[in-house]
Amino acid sequence: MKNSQLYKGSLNTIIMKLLEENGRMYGYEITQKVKLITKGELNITEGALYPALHKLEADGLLDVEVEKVDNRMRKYYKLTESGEKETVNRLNELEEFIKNMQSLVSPSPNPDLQF
Amino acid sequence: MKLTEHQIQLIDKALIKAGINYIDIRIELTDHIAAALEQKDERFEHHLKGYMLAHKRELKKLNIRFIIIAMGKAYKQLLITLLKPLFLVFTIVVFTTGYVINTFFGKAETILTLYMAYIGICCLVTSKSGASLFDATFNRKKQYSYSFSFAFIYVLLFYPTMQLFFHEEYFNDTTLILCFTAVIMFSLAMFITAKQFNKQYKLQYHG
Repeated sequence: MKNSQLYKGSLNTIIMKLLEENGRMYGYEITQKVKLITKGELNITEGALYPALHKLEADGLLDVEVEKVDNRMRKYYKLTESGEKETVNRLNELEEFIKNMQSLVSPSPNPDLQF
Repeated sequence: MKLTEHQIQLIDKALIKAGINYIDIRIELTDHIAAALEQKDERFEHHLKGYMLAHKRELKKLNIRFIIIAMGKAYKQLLITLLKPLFLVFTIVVFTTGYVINTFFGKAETILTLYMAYIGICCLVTSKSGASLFDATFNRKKQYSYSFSFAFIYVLLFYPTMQLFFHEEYFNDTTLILCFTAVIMFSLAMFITAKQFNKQYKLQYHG
């Protein structure tokens, strides 16, 4: 994954956000969707994606459906009810984080804080 | 390009060759690799070889991580089973039975009875009705990833239980009955949990 240290902490939120928007998705589809949205900037490897999916499933945030598609079995992931609630919380957290980072990286001049 | 059933089998075989044995892990990775190869041109075997060469290390690491996550899930469920009120009541019943046998028939008979009960549960586990210990240990191609966690504990439990049986003189009666009760109940809880998981995985992957 590109800039792995920066993206690593947000991977679960990225997955949950995509599942919230798309209903259900399978692993390869998630990697391609992320690539498409970020115009190839972010490439999620299977080594990062699947453990995250399995962990979210083990935590009860994702549900699984297995179907036969094109001569093979395909595992679809979708958010559970608690997963949907958790997505909202995590997105809020992420938004706040981005806002704070933005203030730190490119602070706008605040006249009250000038000495 | 859509892959044929034969090509899907080739991916599955390549994964087994790379050391990815458990069915559920193979199913997921086969689909991932197949979806990636479908984006390439017609030279399927060439691309499969290339993919396996480029990702072999990562796939092996992934396999271990899958097993660890499955272990966590299995142990969490095992704990839930162990803490069920009915299970706690049954633990008291087993301990009391051991105590009664010990009072009326003596230490040797008690140990033999409890040891046989433990062996009985082990046989139950290795029978087809549960997650086969033999398959989980030696024939993983037929097993789901969670089974490793239970096979691992059964192997760990076996040696100390043998020691309890053969060196009973080192322990007093109550300690022995208590130890055997713990081993029996733990084995039983693993059997029940493994059966639940097996049913759940079978339903998920094979309808």
